[in-house]
Amino acid sequence: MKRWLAVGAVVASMGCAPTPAAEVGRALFADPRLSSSAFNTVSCATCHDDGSSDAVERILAGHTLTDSVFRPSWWGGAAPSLQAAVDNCLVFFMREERIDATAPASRALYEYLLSISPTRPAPPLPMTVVENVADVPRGDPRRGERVYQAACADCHGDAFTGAGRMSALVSVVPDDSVGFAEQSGFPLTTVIVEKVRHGPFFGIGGTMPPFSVESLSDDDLGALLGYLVPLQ
Amino acid sequence: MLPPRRVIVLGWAGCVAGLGACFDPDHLPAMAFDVVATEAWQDGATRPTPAVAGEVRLVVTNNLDDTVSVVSWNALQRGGDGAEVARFPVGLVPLEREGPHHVDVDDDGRFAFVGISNFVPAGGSGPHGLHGTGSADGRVLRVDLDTQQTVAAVRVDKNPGDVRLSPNGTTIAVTHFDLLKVADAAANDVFVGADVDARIAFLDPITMQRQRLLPVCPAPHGMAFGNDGRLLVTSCLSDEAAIVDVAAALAGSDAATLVRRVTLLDAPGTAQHPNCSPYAVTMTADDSTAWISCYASGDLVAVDTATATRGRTLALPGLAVFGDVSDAGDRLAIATQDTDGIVVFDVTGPGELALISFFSLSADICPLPHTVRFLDDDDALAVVCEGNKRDPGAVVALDADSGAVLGRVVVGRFPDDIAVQVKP
Ligand code: HEC
Ligand code: HEC
Repeated sequence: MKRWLAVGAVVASMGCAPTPAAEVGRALFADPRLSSSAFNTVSCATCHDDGSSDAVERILAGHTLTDSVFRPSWWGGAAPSLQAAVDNCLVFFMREERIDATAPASRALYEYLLSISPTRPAPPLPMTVVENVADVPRGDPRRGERVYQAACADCHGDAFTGAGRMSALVSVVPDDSVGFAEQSGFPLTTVIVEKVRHGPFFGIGGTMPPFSVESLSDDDLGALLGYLVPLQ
Repeated sequence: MLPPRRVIVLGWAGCVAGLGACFDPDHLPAMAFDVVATEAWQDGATRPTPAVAGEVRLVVTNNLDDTVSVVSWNALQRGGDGAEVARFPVGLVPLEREGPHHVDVDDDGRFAFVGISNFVPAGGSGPHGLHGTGSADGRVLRVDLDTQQTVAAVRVDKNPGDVRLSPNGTTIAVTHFDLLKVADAAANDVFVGADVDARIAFLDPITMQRQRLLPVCPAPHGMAFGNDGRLLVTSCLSDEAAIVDVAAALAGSDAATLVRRVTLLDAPGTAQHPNCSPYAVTMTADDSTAWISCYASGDLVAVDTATATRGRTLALPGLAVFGDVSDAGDRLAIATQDTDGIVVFDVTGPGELALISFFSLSADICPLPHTVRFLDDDDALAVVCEGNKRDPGAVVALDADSGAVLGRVVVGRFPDDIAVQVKP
């Protein structure tokens, strides 16, 4: 709730026209400080396209938010409202509390989402969750490196070293998973598949987003494993 | 304090420089909104118009797909076309199947209280373990039926079973069908006592705070309140029933003095190997008798609530599950499985139950009827049909006298419980 309270304190701006709320919302969308947690380093833009980035090749965990407002359902049907859909992201990925719908910052964010949602009604987007994790066959390591750059490097920095990662809370991939793999008796590849498919859910914890089958195919995931855990 | 001029300059700088240079989420510039505050976060979901005064809707939990169905009773008893007015997701964790289990609705017809069991076998696995085994604590959600939003949640023990609001609206009681606790204790050769007994949680329906967690008996499941909300009877897996003094429980009295346990059989089993397998409780209108449904044997066992003694036993045509008593208090209806149907008894005779009818339900209409409610001044019955517990189930309306099927509607997967929503 802190964030939604703090931003209630609006600076008076006598002598000039007020800023359109959607414009403030656009800035909030790309600003990790939307979360009041000192440990948060991600913004909505880390995981969602809003139509503003020039087709850089990125594989994002979340769907595009272009036309997100007038979908009939979100999170593959698991969120009953747009607000609940965003609440999930704030609570599970950004260490923030649920939205206060009437707070100025949240209204600004809403008006931004509205401004990029011209289609009404818009079709729902599918989200297939891999509930039961199984190993995925390893694919081409060169393709895997490209997948890593597009899907993981923004947060994790370079593979094997973590150079340039978003914060010290982000693990070094795959090295930081070796211990758990040994302890659990599962292959390292399965441990990586589990984290990628389940994120913080199913008892894992943390704030990394899960990748659905639509956001990252099993083929891409297999290639990634070929790169991260090469066959000896 | 900044002199006022400085503030003006700051605001002005925000204007000319755009947001990039001087933007600070703690000090947002003054904004011009296109959407009024009350309409912020409106979206494209279709929600049914909220129920109007006097309208009857049924709220059904769909255990396997984490949704709640809202069924128009009017449309259901006229055949069922379009009777499902809404199906919406409930739960706190978007990816996991949380198993909405039982449900009750408040007297204002506004809020539903939904037990989240976290018991959905095969609902997720990986190196971090199995999900849906009921090993995680449950939750009770407060869901606004007008907006479909979950507005509050409270943690309860593992595997919440029945969720019932007391008739006076002061407490929500939640049993815990904690089979893991029974199994863990049995693994240590413990079959009775504190290590086996699960608790009933009493929750404040307004604040959603826990009022009391009261140890009661092994794996309590079904439950019924007496009319004044002081008396509560629950079925215990140990071939027992437990009679709880709710008023004393909420007043903080010693647990030993406010739970009376009644053995249901001459040769009772244990919670691990029950012979009756007590499953549900249906209380007569005068609170004198609680009828306990045996899931294993198909018996219905009477418990005298005043003397805490066992009365007579009736054998039903199938395995006994949940039931209801008519508003007039003259009839008792119990759903049975295996031989699928609804048994209706006359309860007006002195101490005796007279069988009125058995409405057999065919597999294409209502496989595995799980619970039944009297509606329409006792003229009709609403029945939840679990189906094969994998695919969508159904809710059917029956004529309470003839058993004729008045209507049928398909709901979500593995529907479980039903509550009646009536706006005053
Ligand atoms: C760490 C990654 C991450 C962050 C940060 C994040 N999200 Fe999400 N978001 C997801 C994932 C994963 C989903 C589920 C897949 C999906 O439905 O897009 C999702 C779903 C959504 C959806 C539902 C989309 C749909 O149609 O299913 C909306 C709307 C949304 N997010 C908005 C936001 C907003 C607004 C923010 C910033 C306040 C935000 N998200 C921050 C990862 C993130
Ligand atoms: C939005 C940021 C983000 C993205 C994108 C992301 N991760 Fe992560 N990842 C994290 C964080 C943060 C952690 C630390 C654990 C946590 O908080 O969930 C983590 C942890 C992990 C772990 C567990 C390491 C351990 O300590 O056991 C693995 C494996 C992993 N990530 C793999 C990947 C792969 C592969 C990708 C690309 C498909 C990816 N991650 C994309 C943020 C991210």
